[in-house]
Amino acid sequence: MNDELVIEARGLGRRFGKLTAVDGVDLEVRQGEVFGFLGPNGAGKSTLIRMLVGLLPPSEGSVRVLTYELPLQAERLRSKVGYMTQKFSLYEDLSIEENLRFAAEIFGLTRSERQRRCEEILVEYDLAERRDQRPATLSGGWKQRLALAVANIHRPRLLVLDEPTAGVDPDRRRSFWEKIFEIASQGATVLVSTHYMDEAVRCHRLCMLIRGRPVAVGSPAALTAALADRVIEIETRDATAAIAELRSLPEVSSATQLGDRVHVLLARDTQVAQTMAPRIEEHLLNAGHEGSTAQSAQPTLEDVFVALNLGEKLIEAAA
Amino acid sequence: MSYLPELPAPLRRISAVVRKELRQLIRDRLTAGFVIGVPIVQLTLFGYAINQDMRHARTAVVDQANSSISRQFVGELVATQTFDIVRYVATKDEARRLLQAGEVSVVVQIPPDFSRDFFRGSGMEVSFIVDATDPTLARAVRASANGLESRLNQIGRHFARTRESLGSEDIPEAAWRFSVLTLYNPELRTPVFVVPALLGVILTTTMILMTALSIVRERERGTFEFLIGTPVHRFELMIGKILPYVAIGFVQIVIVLATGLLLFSVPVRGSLVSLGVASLLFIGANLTLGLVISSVTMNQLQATQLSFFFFLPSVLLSGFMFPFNAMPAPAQWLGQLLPLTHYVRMTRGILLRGTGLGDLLPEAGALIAFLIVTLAMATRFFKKEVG
Repeated sequence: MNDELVIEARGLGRRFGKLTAVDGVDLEVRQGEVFGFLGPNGAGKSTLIRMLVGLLPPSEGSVRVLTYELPLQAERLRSKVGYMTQKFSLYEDLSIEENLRFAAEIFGLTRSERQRRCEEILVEYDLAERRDQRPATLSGGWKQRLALAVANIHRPRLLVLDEPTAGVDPDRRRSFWEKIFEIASQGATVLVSTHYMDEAVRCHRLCMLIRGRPVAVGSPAALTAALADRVIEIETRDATAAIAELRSLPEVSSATQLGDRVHVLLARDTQVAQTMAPRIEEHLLNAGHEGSTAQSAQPTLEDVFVALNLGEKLIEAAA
Repeated sequence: MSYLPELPAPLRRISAVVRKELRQLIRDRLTAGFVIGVPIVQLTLFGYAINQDMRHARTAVVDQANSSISRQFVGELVATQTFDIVRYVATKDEARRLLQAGEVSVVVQIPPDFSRDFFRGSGMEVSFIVDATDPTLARAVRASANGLESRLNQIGRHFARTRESLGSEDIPEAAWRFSVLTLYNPELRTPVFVVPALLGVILTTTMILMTALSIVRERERGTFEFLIGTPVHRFELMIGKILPYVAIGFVQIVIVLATGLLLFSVPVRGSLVSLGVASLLFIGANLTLGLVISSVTMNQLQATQLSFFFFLPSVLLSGFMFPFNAMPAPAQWLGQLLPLTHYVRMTRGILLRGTGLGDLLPEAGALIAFLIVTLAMATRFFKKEVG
């Protein structure tokens, strides 16, 4: 047995009636990692996470978390895991402190531990001044903070966060992620799902999900490296028309708008981006897109997603 | 800070759930009001609706004799305080119409030959027609009429004896005969009879609904997902959810008994311990049923609907509304399956007849059986899982 492995899943899948929500997930998460699940809404992130914390029995496959076999030993796993649900799930009619104390009691902290830990956490999460406030009166960002505090009340070895920053402003998201890394640096393993690329890129490793299937697993650097020399970034005035133009080229596998730029993914067997960029620029200028520029660019996770959506296999490449 | 010894973890978790539940309950004014308000309001409404017409029944008089004797008789009627004469009408049909319209509850009919019969000393027929929609009123009229009848007969006999002693023998003993006809509802009950049963009805409505809602609410608000992610065992959760409501059930019993005693002098003839044991079984049966309902429903609306699906037969078939033995056999079979049926028998027995638990073992057994079945169902259906 490898005790470095916090999560070990084999062929994990879950169906709801005819719908397959998650299919064929093989996963190994190591001690101390910040491991991300990245995917669009409905990709099966929450279902997968619920199976990994033992809240949902899998339809197939096996999963072992912190040496506990799930779903059989799910109850024994609970006290080792901190789980923050996607939707705020604490009591709106109890104060911040009462929520913390309830969690501390239910996670089995003794009376003196409870007292000490609650005070400690109130200070650590800047909640001390608001201890008597009810969550109903808190903004989204403060609610996330409280939820994270509650998930950490028993110092879990594994922290599982299901889209913790959905709908939170960028500043708050940044400070939230700093907190996540702080927790990981103290030895906990963190599992976090997101659909924000800028968050995903910070994870040590990622599992990208499309329609319930894991399509790539690896560090963000390894995943983007798999597309090296295949991405060209284009600046042009009429992006929509340019995209239509670009898609007609046989060397172009896809053209997508990212912010105010257009990213072109070159087909696998064509020449490298440095060579192709001037030709594409010329083509655009000839087609009447004046002032357009094309340069080879560093692939981003968005490009990886585009490639994966086209059915490219990157798992081997990134492993 | 207290210096009590640390409880073992399972008890610690149960106590956490119980205290959380109570705290939420107190904060939720509507529910807290429900707990205290429902028994008082229901009892007062039911009790007074039955009780208030014991006196001052609106009465129409059909005085076909219209003599000084008949007027003296009407005076006697008023003196009983049971009857308030609000109308004098000429014909029986007119009086019947008032009765049907609900303008009066009682019609007293004095026949044309009333005075003649009085002086002859032959039977004087006075008929009372009562709207027994409210059975207590009918019973009160019957009792009052009986009382008046025997009083007048006593006076009559005394009068006759006086005449006898004076030597005039031509006037024999006057015999009053009152007939009381109850309309619309021939079976009669009193508040004393209703309150013990009402105790069960109140507990049924509040207990089932409150446990069911307390869990379904967590599911609806999303807090259930937090709860099931914690180490609290499902049995600990079930117990923690039930215990506060056991306490609340007993608070309600105290309220109902106190209100019943104060307002309607409903006696407590049997032992309070017996009542406590019977109530514990009954509350337990309702709470576990609430757990089952919460396990098979997804939202508060469904839970409420399912609870009402159970309330209606409970109220109708338990012997609260209709005398149990007068119901058709299939209704009785169904009624036997309901905990309220057995609890009503027990409370009536204990409170009114002073029956001991020993004589109520079959009813206690039925409640225990129901409790075991619902507990088995709750154990099977109550899961720590998300949809």
